[in-house]
Amino acid sequence: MPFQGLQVGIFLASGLLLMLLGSVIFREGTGRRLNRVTATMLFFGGLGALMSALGSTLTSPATASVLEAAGEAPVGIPNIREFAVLWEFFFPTLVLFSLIFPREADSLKRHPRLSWLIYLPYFLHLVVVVLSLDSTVLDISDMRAPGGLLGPFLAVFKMALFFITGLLKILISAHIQLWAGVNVLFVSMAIYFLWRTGKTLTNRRLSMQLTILQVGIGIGVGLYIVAEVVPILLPFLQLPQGLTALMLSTGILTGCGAIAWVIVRHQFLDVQVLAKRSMIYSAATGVVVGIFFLLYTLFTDLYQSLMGGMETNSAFVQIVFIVIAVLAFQPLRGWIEMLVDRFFIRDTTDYRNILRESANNIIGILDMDSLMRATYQTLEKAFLVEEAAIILLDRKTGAFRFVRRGPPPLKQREWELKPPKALESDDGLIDQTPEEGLLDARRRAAAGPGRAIFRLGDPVAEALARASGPVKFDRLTAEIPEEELGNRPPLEGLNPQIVIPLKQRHDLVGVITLGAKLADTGFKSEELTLLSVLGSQVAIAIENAGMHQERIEQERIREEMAVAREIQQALLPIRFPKGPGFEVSAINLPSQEIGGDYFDFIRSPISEEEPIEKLLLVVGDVSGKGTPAALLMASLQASLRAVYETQSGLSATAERVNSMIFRTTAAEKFVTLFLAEYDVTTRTLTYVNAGHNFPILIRGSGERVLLDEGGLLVGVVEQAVYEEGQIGIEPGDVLTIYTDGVTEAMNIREEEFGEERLMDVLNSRSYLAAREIRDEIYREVLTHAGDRAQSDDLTLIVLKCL
Amino acid sequence: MQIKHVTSGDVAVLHLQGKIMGGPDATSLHEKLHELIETGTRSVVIDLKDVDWMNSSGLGILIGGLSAIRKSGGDLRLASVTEKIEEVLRITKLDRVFDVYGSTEEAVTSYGS
Repeated sequence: MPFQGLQVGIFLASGLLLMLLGSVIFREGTGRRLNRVTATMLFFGGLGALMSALGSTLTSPATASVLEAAGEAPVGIPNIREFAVLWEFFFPTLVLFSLIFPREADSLKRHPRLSWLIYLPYFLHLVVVVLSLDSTVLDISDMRAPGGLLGPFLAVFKMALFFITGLLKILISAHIQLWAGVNVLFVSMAIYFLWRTGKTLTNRRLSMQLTILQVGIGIGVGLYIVAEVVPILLPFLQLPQGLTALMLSTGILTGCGAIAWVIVRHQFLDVQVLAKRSMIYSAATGVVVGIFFLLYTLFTDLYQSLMGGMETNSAFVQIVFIVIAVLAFQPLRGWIEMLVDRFFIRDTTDYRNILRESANNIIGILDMDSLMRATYQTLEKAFLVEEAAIILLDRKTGAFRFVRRGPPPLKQREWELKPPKALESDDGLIDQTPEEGLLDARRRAAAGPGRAIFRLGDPVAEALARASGPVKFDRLTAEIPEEELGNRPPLEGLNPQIVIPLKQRHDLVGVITLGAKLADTGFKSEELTLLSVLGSQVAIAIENAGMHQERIEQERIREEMAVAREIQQALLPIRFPKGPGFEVSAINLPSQEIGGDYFDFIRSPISEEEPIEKLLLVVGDVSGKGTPAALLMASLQASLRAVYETQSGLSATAERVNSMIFRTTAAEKFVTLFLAEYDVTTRTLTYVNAGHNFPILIRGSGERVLLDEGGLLVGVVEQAVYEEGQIGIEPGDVLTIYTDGVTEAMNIREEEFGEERLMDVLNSRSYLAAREIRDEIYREVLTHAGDRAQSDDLTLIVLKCL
Repeated sequence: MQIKHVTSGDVAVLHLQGKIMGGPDATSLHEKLHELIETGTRSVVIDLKDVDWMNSSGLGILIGGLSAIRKSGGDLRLASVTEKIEEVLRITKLDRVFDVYGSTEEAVTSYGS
């Protein structure tokens, strides 16, 4: 049969591979239960395949005929298949595995004997099968019938025994036939346990591993059912033996392969290296074994020729060779492995890939949020840890706060929920159980930055700044004197194992904390190197992102200011009214931040064809800066213009505008407003001063009048009363209305321009035209202020009567 | 700007120091006043002895605090106002809105009468 060889080959190869993988995993981490269980499981899986190989060989017609030719009946050969019961220990081991991956189940923790209970059915099964093999135990046919009185009684007993044993035989054979069902049950249990664990996973990498496990095991058991169970239940549906073998070995390989892959990936991060290593090791072992057999054959030949071609018992040679094998094999293999390590496995370890990847990804990210996300993802990918957090310095306040704090890869079960830690109430994530913490990350983000975990100058910050790279947390805290540490050092609530300071030159700008690894293996030195390099990369990226953010912020402010300025300038009059008997000039110089100065002229009659009879001069200063101030200014202008045209009298206008502004703005917002109505025909000036700097009227005679009649700032109380002031104007009189940008203009010595200087200019220059007076004041203010940037708008109206 | 909070009987006295400008200063004074209102304080005295300068935002905070406290049935009174700020209050006519006292003691005892 052409299938036969193939079948044996497949079984043999898959069996060897699984056993090899098992032994490698075992050797990599003997100390861990997960490794031991996985290795045992792979060993049993491999054993199953090898048993099948052996079974196929012995039951093959070719072998049978050889054996027959040799005069030996193929006695007991069918029993080989029964011996396969040993490999079925694979199934309870799988269940055990599903209970301890990725972490030991609580039920197992509390009842350690449970693992033996899982194996119990298979031990009983083994006993039953062994009993059935030893047919003499049940064979009573040659029991000699004793004579005497007891004869008939014994005959009855013998009959009963015969029936019982017959029944037992039937039961046992049924048991063996149906045991496949129990196997399927155990696999289903394992898949169920894994699925239950899967529901508690939050880490993507772990979830993926678990999915691979379930799919792998599912495929394996599916094939097993088709190949083994279906033919038992439906005897008419017999598959060709080769196909069965193929399906069985594929099933075992897929299931066990998935498990092996996941375990290697889970623990050692680097499946490639391990697979490569196990292949090279096995090749090396093969060479050693080959050489051994060659030597053995040569030596036997030599020995026999020495003995003169006599048929000799070579037991002596065999013993010698076994001793040699036992003594020499292990050191030889170790030596080969060492050579192999030195020559082949020095490159391409996973952590370098992660490093390269992060260098490409992280360094280029300018957005702080994305940067933190990418950093966190890199950590998540490289290290499967219980907890990780990124903490950054807020330069403005000197506080270190969480920017990212990942959920643990495994959700805690209810009974494991730890009481809220003190840290959690200190850091702004107040009163949250971990569950809520996960759900409410968004709400938390909306609530603004959390409270500081520690601050610049704190002992922890100092210790971190001194550290030159990743440090173990306990070593870090050991550095700090106990009295400074307090009873709860910051960060402790995160259960960190490793802390990685993020430094720009010598300044600490943040810290990454990593909790214990889920695989509980501790951090290797090459991983610390990775973390060190990663830390400095992240620090550089943070610096870049910070500068970028600053630029963006400046750009945003500039744009906002441009908008505010645009609004303000659009509201201000471009042309100044010119009338019989007076001239007006004005200037507005917005400061960098837009202070909200406002001036306006409203003439009546409105038509510009007719000469002006009355002119309303308006100067206002809106509180606040920027766009809000500009918008308030716009609203002031709109209400003022609307009210002025419908109300008679300035005080009524002021009162109305006051209540309008009061109702539309917050209590903190207000406007200083000066309204003056100049009647051209009567040459009288009626005014209301609502909390504005007193305008100055300089008479032609040199007399000085401050216009202070009026009332409260606009927008402070709902109902304010404003008194009107009235003053007669004569030719040569100069009225100057200004905002505090004029008198409070500062020079570098922090001296204000002040009212005195303003008065001096007015006194000495009042003979000039309105525009010239305006320019003089402006020039003086600029000379005084020099290069110093002014924080307030400057507005000035000069009215001169002719 | 710094705020020092002293309680004298039922009266909360806030000693302010430095310049009252917009931004963070304004925010902290605003928060302090609202904290007092929320905790049921109805009588507040703001001591401005050590405040030499106040811009329009600072003024806005005082006004906002005053209107909030008055709305809850209390009052906010000023004490030891410096010349510069007195002038600001005079120009803006806020001296008609705020009760201004020569010293903190006067302002505190004014609540008793």
